[in-house]
Amino acid sequence: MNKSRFPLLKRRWTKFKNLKRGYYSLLILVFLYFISLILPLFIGNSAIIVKYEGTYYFPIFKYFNASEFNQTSRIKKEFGKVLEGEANYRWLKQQFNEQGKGNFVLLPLYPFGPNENLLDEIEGNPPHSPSSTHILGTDDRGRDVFARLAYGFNISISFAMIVTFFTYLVGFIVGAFLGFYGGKIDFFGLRLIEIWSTLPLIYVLIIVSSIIKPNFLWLTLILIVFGWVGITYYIRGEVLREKAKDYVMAALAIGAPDFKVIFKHIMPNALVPVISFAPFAVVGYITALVSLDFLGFGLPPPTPSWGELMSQGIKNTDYWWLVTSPLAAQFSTLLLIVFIGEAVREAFDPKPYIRYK
Amino acid sequence: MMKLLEVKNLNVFFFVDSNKIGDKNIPSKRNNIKKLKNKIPVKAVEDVSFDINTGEILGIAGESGSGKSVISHSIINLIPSPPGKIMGGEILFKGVDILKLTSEEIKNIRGKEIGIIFQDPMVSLNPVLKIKSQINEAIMLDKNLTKTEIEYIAAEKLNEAGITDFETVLNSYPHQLSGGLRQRVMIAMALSRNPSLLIADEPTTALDVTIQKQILDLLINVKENRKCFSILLITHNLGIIKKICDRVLIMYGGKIQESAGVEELFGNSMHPYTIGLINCFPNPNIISSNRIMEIPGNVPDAIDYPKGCKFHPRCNKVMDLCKNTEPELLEIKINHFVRCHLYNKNSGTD
Amino acid sequence: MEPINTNNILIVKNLGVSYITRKNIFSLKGNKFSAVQDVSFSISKGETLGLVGESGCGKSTIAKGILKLFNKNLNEAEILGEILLNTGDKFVNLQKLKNSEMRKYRNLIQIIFQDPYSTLNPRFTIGKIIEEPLLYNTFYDKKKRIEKVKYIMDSIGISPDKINSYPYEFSGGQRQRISIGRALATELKIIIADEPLSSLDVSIQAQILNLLSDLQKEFNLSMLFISHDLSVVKQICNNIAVMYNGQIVEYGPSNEVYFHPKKEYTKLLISSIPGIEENK
Repeated sequence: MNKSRFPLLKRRWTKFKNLKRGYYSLLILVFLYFISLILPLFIGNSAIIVKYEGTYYFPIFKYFNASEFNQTSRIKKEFGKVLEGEANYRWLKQQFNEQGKGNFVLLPLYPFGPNENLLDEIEGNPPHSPSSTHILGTDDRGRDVFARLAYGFNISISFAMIVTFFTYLVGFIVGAFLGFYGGKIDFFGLRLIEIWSTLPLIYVLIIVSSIIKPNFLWLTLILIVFGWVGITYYIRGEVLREKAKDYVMAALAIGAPDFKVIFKHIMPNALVPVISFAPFAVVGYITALVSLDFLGFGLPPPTPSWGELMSQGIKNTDYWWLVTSPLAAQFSTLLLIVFIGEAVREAFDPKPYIRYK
Repeated sequence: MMKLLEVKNLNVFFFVDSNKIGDKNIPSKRNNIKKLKNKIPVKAVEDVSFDINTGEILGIAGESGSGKSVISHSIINLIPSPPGKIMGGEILFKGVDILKLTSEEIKNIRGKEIGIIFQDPMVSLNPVLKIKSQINEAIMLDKNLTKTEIEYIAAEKLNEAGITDFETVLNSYPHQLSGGLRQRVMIAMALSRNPSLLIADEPTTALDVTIQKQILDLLINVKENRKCFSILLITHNLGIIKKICDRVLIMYGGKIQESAGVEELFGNSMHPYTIGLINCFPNPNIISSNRIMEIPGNVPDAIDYPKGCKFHPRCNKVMDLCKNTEPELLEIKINHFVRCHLYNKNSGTD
Repeated sequence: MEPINTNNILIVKNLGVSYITRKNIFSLKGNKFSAVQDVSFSISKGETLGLVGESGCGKSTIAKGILKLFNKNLNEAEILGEILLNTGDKFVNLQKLKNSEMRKYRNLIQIIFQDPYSTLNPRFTIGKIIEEPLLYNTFYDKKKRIEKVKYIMDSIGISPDKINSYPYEFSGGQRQRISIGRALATELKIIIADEPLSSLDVSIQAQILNLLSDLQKEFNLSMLFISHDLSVVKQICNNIAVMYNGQIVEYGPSNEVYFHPKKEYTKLLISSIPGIEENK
């Protein structure tokens, strides 16, 4: 007998898995996100392992000076001079190969970093168009576009998921409280929420950005503080609906205290319809972040972000890759999430479809 | 007496996916029509045959899952498809097989020749339209009538249904009327096109017992006052059947288990299920002990019917034969059919 | 203070329940709709009182009023009168208690509802459902709780092996048994059954009715049985109270009320029952 602890969930999961488009999108997305968490292993300008004179170094964890490896510059003008600052591992690899002393450098698959200025290494003026070494070219500061896109992916999704989670958390607590107690609490609470929701997000962001330099933490905080309102209405509605059901009255009748009734009984049932909104909320927040970065009110430079790339591209449409690549990345990501969201919604839908002749 | 409706070997199956969760087959309905072959047929109605004569009230009695509502829906072809499908059989209405009609032709029968009222009038009536619009809509379907003619017919129908204050009722919305009034309106609407057959699917289940009496009396009245009019009454309440029906079919597990005239059935019930069912209704006229004779076990889920006789796990007269072979429906006495091995002289007794 | 018979478990005196609907929470005047007026009855140890009436007569409102189970919404419910519950050593007036104070006594008086499908939380196993009252009302440890749950499952006719099954695996009648089991978990003295049979199949109704009867004897319970079906009420109840429009119109032993009804409404109810046997 294979009894799952959450049979309803299991049934929905089976149904979800049968919806191939959503299921595969989920697999792809989870895979990509997982890779993005260990991205420096694949894309980055820090070598994974360096063996120099018998010792192993791990530059992805630690900063090493170029002098540590006796690295010399490879720029034409300064050839042979001792390099200053951080070691350049691509050059180091070439240097070791030339020296042939048995030292080696293990570089990531795509050895360019998102914040790395490549002006010294490429001819011509930035932004550079796509080439065989830089698949998507560089941006106006000579940074590799592909690397920036890849790191931006992690930031976008993490941001959106964190904001979604906390807005749902706050929204749930408030919505459940209002829905369960009703009466004056509900009345005044709703009015306060309505007032709060009229504050325009953009203006607030502009004002806040002028006072404090926004970073990841501040942005998430602001969006949570203004975004929790949306889901509150739905949760309140669900709580009101569940509250009318017999099992809630039964729980009160057997002596359960109020908070137990809310969190133990009502919450699991009230959350279910709301879960199907979550993917679309994530979509919304990714777009929000891109828009904010585009306008310049988002994450501070030099954080790699899609919106910032797009704003560069808009300024001069000759550099088409600066617009199309982040656009394509955003489009594909959102498409995957939308597929997942649709599949979740269908898997959670209790009614089958019926047709009468 | 002419046969108004003849149902022959009706089979209605519902095709569902099964999800094995735990150790029980839980059917889950999905919209994936393409994978028909992966689905399990649930036999909601199997091999059902009966007739309704003109001027007769036939009752179909059974509990939930017995298939009685599916029969009424099949007659007017309202089986949701997918997942349901009428797999075979004939339904002859005035000699014409209505299962073979096109959707256009069915529209002439449904509502016009065969009227139907359901259990909950609140759900059957459109809550945002006044009664006036709804009943006029039905009347207008037949011929081109002037406004006054329509109003006259509407008032006449409501009157027939026992509503005297028709002005107020016509101008009300469904939620402003009581349950009894709503059901009367439903009856009026169902009769507005002068059908020959009225199907009443649990018409009084949602009503109070005093209102129920009024509605049942109304149905009897309507039948008396019209020529060539029959009623098919579907219910789980044997008391109602006894009160107004001429003949009755007892359904269990999608099949007819016993059928007879009402007096005969209540006086000489044969099938153990019928006997058990009758005993389940507490008889208030007897000063008895606190216990009622009960039928043990549960009404089976259509996806998990037992082998052999569908009632055998709950039967107090079960024999070995019953566990393997399903009995045939046989005429044991004149016009009294029973599906039970106890009465089948041909099947070997234990 | 008039002497109260300690053989009584529940005494209701002049109970009135009104719903106050205000246009909005600021308007001081509201429309008072009186659902129950001046209802009095008493139930002694081991007795079953049947409350019969049609929809809207107020019988379910009485149950909710006794247990203070109204939804906290814009509409408030006002409860008047005395509701005296015998706690073993004294009588407590439930009407005067606030919700938080009431929790102490909830284990003595439990309720089962009409709809077996919504009365059990679909996310809990039935073991947890039956165990929950023990968590709030006793100090039993886990082992003793499980033991008690299994004992109850045995009494209600569900195999204790199914302690980890979920409600969806059971039929309507079985779910009703589980909800009865939940009510029995505490050391209760009186159970209120609010139309417990109305959503069940006919053959199952008889089972549940017999079960309630048996459990009453086994656990020495009193019962307030609310129904619209007079024949069922007569079967299981010692006394019957007939309700109409919020008031009790007739009250007496079952056989008295059924065979010698005094009020017109009672006579109407009796004659409306489509009986299997011919009515007199």
